[in-house]
Amino acid sequence: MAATTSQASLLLQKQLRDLAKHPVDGFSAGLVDDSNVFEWQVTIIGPPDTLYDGGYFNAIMSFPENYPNSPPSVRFTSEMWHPNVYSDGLVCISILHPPGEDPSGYELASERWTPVHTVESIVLSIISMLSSPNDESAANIEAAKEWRDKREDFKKRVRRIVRKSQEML
Amino acid sequence: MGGGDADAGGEPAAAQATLHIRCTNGSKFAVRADLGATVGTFKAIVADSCDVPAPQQRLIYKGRILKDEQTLASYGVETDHTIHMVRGAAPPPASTAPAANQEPTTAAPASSPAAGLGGLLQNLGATGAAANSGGLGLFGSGLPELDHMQQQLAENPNLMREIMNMPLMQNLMNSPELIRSIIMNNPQMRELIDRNPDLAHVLNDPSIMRQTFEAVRNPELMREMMRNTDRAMSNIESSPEGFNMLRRMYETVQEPFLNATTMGSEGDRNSNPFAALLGNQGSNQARDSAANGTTTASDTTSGAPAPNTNPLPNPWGPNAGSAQGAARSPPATNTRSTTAGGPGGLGSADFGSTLGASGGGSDATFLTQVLQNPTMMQMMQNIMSNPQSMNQLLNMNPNVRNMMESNTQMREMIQNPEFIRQLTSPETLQQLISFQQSLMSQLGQQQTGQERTQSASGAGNVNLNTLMNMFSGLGAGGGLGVPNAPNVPPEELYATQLAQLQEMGFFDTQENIRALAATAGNVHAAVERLLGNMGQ
Repeated sequence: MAATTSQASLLLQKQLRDLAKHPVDGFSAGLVDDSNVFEWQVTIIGPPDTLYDGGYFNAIMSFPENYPNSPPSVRFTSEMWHPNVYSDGLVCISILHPPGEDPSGYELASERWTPVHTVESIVLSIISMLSSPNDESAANIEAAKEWRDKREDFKKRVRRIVRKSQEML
Repeated sequence: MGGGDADAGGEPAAAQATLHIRCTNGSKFAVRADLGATVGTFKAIVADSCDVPAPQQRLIYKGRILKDEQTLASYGVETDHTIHMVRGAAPPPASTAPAANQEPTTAAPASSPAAGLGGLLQNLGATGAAANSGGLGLFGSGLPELDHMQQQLAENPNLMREIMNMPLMQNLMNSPELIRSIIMNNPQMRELIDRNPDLAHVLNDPSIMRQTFEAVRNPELMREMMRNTDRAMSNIESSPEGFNMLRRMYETVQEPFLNATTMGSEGDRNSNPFAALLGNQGSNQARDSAANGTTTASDTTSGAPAPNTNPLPNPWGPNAGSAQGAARSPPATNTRSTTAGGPGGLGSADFGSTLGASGGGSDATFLTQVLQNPTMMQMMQNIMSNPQSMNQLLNMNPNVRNMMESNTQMREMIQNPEFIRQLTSPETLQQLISFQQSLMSQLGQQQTGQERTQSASGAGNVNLNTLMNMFSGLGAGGGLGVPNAPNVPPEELYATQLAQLQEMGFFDTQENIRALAATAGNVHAAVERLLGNMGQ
């Protein structure tokens, strides 16, 4: 257990250092508290050419002690309206699900979490999720229905949260 | 784990860190900044390297949005680290609002003083024209360019004082010839001087000119002079028929004076009633009046064809000259038309037109009886012989009080019992009453329908006219030296008037003497009386 904790800490510190020196477009990541390397704070910039363009959405990534064997959990602290984000902000995408067979039989095992994923790949997946929602396995039923049946209402709501995120700056 | 710690310890923070900025449009650039500086200062440095102004920059580092108040070090920024920059919305325009609010407040006080000064100068010009005063006439009555320059100078007292203290202005004030030539170049001013000999007199006196410029230099003195003029004008307005009386006096005194060129110097004294009435008081006008009176007295004594036996000069000298001028014209066959032409030549059309009206004649007779009433004469004599009553009358009028205070010599005259006794002699009173009778006759002829009101206002005007004539007579100090001859026979006393009546066509010497005695030597009243007798 001690060796595993040390390994996870070293890995996260390395990834943090890499992101600081070679940042990736679309997001900025850092520690919430310098004394705890397992809690990250991420600011996702709304992708261009999408409904979320112009917005700034904050999220918290919580890494387990057995990282990278288990996936972290990502929760939006900013208000978010998306079919694949729960009402409390928890993100539900395939790569964040624990490895193994899907109990509901919907996802392939290859789509689920693998240890090769990094913080960068996780955040990029989330940005991709914002661009193309998946309404077949919705986490927020109301958002999914709006996105599918009443797209205009969905757009209005997204524009409202974008404007709200801008005001919080 | 040990290797990681060694790696972290090997990178100490530098004083000037190189930070990489990555924009959303994909561009990247490096900026050198002090890690201890605030984010706001850092944004200003970043603004120099890109086209995004500091208020619109949104810097994101390690998942946090940087606040302007914090320092870069507090966010853990280190050298060679990268910060994301996103362009945000422009801040609201809060800085332009107070500028707009301040603009109207600065404009309002600028316009108020200008309007006030404009009103002040306009009043100055108006009073100058109304008063016909030389001093005020220089301040741009009828001269728009001069008025505009006056306004500019008045707004800046320091500029006015500086101009007056220049050697050029000092030389101008000490040289009457130069000032006169400058003013005469203006056609409007030349016409004004031709119609107002007093103005020429003012220009020929260096001391009066210097005092005028002193008033221009001192704003307080000018304001005081204007206040006195305004008070005088309001007094005239409050007096019943004040303006009408002023107009009658102008037509009676000024017109004959203009027509009688041979006796022009005597006209200066007759203009004194206007000055006293308008109340252009002040040290300047007081000296002007005194000097004017002295000049008139000397001219009268030197130019008189015959020795003057009266204690006071004849106030109808200009009228006599004008009458002689009218009489020199070819006589007509009709005696009535000839006699009617005489008064018409005086410029008083009303007098000529009402001569044929019987109502006017009866009204004049009524006024004559009122003025010759023994009670009226006794009241006037009591007022003049009692010093306290005289002082009360003088103090009632602020303008007269100012003149008394400014001229101590005039006060001594009033306090002198012998002078008062001479002033109240029967012959002097007769002359004063005749003068007033002439004015009242013309006033009555114009308002036959308001006989009763005319009588009441006439009584009030008598006192005012008495004071005015006293002051005009006081100016001629030389008159005091002439002894009074009460025993002169009527033929010698009215020799001049008898000659005038003879030339007009009245050849009955006895009738003429009786008419002149009844009217105290007034030729016009005597003519009217003789015509009335013929009518009967």
